[in-house]
Amino acid sequence: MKNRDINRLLTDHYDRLIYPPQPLKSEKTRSKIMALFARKQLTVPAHKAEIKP
Amino acid sequence: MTNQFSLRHTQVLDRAAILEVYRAESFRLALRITGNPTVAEDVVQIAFLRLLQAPELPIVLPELIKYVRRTVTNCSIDFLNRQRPQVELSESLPNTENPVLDFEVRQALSQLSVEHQAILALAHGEGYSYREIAETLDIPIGTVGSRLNHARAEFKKIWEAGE
Repeated sequence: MKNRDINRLLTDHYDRLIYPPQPLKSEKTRSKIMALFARKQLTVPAHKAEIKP
Repeated sequence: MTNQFSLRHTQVLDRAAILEVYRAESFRLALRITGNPTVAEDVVQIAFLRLLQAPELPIVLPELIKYVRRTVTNCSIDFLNRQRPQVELSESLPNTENPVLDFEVRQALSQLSVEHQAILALAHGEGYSYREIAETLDIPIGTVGSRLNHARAEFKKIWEAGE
C-alpha cells in the first residue's frame, strides 16, 4: 500500500468518526411530516394540490 | 469573605459559559484521539473540570483556544494511558458509513503508542498545522514531522500485516 493511500485511509477514518450516517433521520423526518399532516397542522397549498390535466 | 466567595463563584460561572463554546470542538478532538464517543464525553468533562480550576487559564482568545486544545488532548492521552493495556475496543461496530473498515482501522491504531495515536488524530483528523500540533502536544516543531512519520510508518506496518 502506498503512503498516500495510508494517509487517505486515516483521513477518511477520522472524518467518518465525526460524521456518522444517520439513516433514521429521513425516516424520522418523514414520520414527523406525516404526523403533522394527520393533525392538519401542515397542508398542501391549494395551487399545488390541484391536479392539472 | 462573602464577597470573595461570590467573586470566585462568578468567575467560575463565567469560565463555564466561555468553555461551553468549545464543548463541540473539544468533543470532536477527544473522539478522534480516543475513537470512542462515551470515552470522549468523559474526557471532555474531566478536561473542563481542570480548565475551570486552572489558575492560569488565559483570557485572550488565541491563547485560550490553544490552552483548551492542549488540555483536552492531554486528558485524552492520560485516559488512554490509564486504560492500557486493559483498553478494549467496543464490541459493537462503530456507527459510521463503513463500520467494518473503521473497526479495523481503530484496531490497528490501538496498537500504536498513545503519543502516535494522538499525533495522527491531530494531523489527519483535525488537520492541524505542524505549529498547531507542536503547541497542542507541547513539543518542538522539529519533533512533529519525525513523530508523525514514525506514527504513519508504524501504522502502515500494522495495517499491512493485518491485510
